[in-house]
Amino acid sequence: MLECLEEKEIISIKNLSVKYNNFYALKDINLSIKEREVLGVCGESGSGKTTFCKAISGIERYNGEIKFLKKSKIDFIFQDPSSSLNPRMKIYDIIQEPLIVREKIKDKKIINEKINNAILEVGLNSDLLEKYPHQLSGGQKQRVAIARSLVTQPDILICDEITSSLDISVGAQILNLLKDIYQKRKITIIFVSHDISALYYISTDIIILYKGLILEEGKTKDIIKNPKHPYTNILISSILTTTKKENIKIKNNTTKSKCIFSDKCYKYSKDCDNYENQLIDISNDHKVRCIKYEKIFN
Amino acid sequence: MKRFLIRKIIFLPLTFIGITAILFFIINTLPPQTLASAYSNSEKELTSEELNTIIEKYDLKGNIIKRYLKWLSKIIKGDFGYSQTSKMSVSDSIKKYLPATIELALFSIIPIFLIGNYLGLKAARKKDTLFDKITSFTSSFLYSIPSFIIGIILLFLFYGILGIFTPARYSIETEILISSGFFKQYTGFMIIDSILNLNFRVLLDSIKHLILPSFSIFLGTSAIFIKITRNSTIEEMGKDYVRTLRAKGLDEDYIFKKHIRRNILIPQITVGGLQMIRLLSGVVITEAIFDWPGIGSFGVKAARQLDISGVMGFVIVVSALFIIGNLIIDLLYAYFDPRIKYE
Amino acid sequence: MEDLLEIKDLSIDAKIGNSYYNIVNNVSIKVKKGEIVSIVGESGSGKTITSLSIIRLLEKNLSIKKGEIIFEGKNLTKLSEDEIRKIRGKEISFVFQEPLTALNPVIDIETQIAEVLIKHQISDEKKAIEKTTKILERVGIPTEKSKQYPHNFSGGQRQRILIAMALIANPKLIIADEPTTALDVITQIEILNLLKEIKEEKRSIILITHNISVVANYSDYVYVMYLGEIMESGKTNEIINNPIHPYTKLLLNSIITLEKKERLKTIEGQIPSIYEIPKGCRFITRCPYKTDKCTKEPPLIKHKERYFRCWNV
Repeated sequence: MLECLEEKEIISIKNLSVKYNNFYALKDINLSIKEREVLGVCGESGSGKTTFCKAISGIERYNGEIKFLKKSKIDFIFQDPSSSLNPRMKIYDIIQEPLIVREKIKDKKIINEKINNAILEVGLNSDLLEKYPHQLSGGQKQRVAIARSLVTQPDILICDEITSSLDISVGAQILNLLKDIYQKRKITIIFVSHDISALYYISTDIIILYKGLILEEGKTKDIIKNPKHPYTNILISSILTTTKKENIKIKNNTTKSKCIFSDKCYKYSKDCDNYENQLIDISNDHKVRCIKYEKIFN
Repeated sequence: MKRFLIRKIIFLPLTFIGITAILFFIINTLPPQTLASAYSNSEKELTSEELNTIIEKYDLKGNIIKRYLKWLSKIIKGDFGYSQTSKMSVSDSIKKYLPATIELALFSIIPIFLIGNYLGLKAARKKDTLFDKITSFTSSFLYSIPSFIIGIILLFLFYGILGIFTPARYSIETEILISSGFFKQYTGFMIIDSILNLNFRVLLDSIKHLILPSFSIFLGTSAIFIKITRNSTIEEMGKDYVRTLRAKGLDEDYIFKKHIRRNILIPQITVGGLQMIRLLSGVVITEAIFDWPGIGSFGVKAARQLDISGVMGFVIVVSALFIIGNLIIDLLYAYFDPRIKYE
Repeated sequence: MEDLLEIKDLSIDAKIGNSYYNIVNNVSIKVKKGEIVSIVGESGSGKTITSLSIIRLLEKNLSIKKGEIIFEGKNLTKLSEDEIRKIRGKEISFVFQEPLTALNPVIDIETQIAEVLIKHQISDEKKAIEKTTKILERVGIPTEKSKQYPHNFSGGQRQRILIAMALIANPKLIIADEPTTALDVITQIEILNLLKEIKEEKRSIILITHNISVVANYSDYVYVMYLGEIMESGKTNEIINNPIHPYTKLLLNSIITLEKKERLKTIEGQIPSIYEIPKGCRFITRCPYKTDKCTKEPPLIKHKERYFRCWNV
């Protein structure tokens, strides 16, 4: 588990919402992301996590405010390395591209040096540079994608499900690599994954997204060891543990409640009918959208 | 779906106007004297005086847009003018020649669909075997031979040598029956009319005359339908749902007949439908060889003789068939594929 | 409890070009009645191919080189195509991995489910529809939607429809290949709980997965496969809490648990492709404990109720 000790804010998000036709992909998002924070975004498909990344990167229209408190370079790493690397380009050229196009570096020697450093940093051999993506394994391709991002020295790195298409053992390597990179550089990471155990391992702070709303947010330790939302609890039940767990049963409720999780919630009761998705402060950093937030875990 | 239909139907006249406009403007690149001949009803060549009278009368040197609108209003009423080629009004010519083409087209497309479907499915199931290779080779070979060669060879064989079939649409006896009034042409379709006339001799005669040209068309064009059937089937065979079907314990014949067949309908309708439309516009060469009185040969003759009204009538009819045909294809898609929803 | 299914020393070869590659080697698996058996492995482990071979749904270039598959006393490998077809969907059913493409898009789901009963001559059409309605209710699909088409349903719902299709003929054994990948966590739990209910009905399930957490919470017995071989097998809680084989140990180490605080210990390198299967122990290229002995193929050793394939334990 990582902890972030910085206090300087780097991204300020106020009342962020994204609306498509007649539904909200994101609603009421308020976050203060600190420098050198690793923000874990836990969400499944339909939660709005990809919309969130797009809004921050500036490629999605949104309502509300996203302010960068200093000039920041953002880079993006995607889930499927096979589709994010151009199959017709050699690895060398793939990593070179942002240096030429974005950084506008012309000096061949400098480019060479940066590429070699990047490739070493991600744990790959330099003889891979002459190969094509299809000659690499999934894990190697993902490392190349990371190298391509690192070579421009980004301030903010957005990782969208970067281990989801990889085998367990390879995904673990990538997580370790990301941790090393984080510890070496002054970088802020937004790490999106449906797998909360990965977030437990790598994030300093976590937000739980569900159907466009943040159901719970706080420091990793609080979220994992002291979750307040029933949905968070369900997610945590998927993390391997040696202590015996009770089996979670999913309910299907028909409710009148406006609570966005009420129809699947095992804690639902009539009291929830008046609840309208307000965010409740548990402590300084720990917030939840649930009125049944007494201790869930022991 | 209703909105889609309404929208398409509203667009139909617009498309129609577009086509006629283009047609009209192209034709009017011809000099007024040539255009004048389109307006005369006589068979004789016109003197320059008569030409000038016509030019004056129909304002052939006047404003093109005014003339277009005037011409359009006539077209809408069904007055396409007079055809020098067939020596009757263009609309009468169409009434005479179009049914022959439609009848031939329908008579040809049915074996293409039925036999082509059978061969394509079988070739796919027996992929890479001798049957598959022979079917593929034969149909491609026949497709690449110019259609007049197939037609001539068939005619030579079955008419010249064996004397079984004869060209034209019906025999001389039937022709006499028609011209003498004993045989009434209610629809223009010989098969339907002979049933309505309760004349089974003529029915057999008409069918006999349809066989050779439709066989010629079948040989020359079925390759596309066979190929699309075969290739679509092979593609479906590799899909995940076929694996699920096998895992359910269903036998291969059932999987093909009930499941795969329904999934290849969309490409089949596309290719088959377009083929049908092509046949409807008159396979000119086949019609020429078999002396078939269809719209294709009419169109070509009219073009050769600069029969402007005839040509324009022909183009308008064929365009109309094309537009309506495409609409029917779209509707068939929606019917057969539940994923397609037209808004 | 006697065995419902026993796979004995199964080996499968793949023909690619003119060469043969041994993609499944000496695999032995036992499934008892009312048991959930997991086959765990990463990509290239051969778990899917092994299970497809039970109902003989292998691709044309794959062939069973040796081994037997005994189901209720019958050797499935020796049955004719007709005989094995009678078993598919009726005695042994298979739930495939990709719910989005596993259903025929142009036929409604009611027909697709009912045809299992009709074609296996279990029920006539009327009865089949009745049973279909009941099974849809059981898996949580609203019955008003039964005449709709697959694209009207979400991925999770389609997965339930596949399960309904697999259950309707009351099979004795259900093979579920990654039934919860690509589904959201709530649907995952619902489906896995459904599988548990099925087990309570004394039916057996082979659960193929790469998700150790699913294995830990839902299965009774585990087989760990790597590169076409069984590396270790045993009761679930013993494997998870006390693994013997290096691969199992390292795999469990690379999984994040609630108790873990330090760095993840990962397995070096990556899984070899089928063209690079090493001689001797197949894990030799990545094993930190390898010795000279490992150049020779280790046999499967039995230790109490467990089996493992390693020289150095």
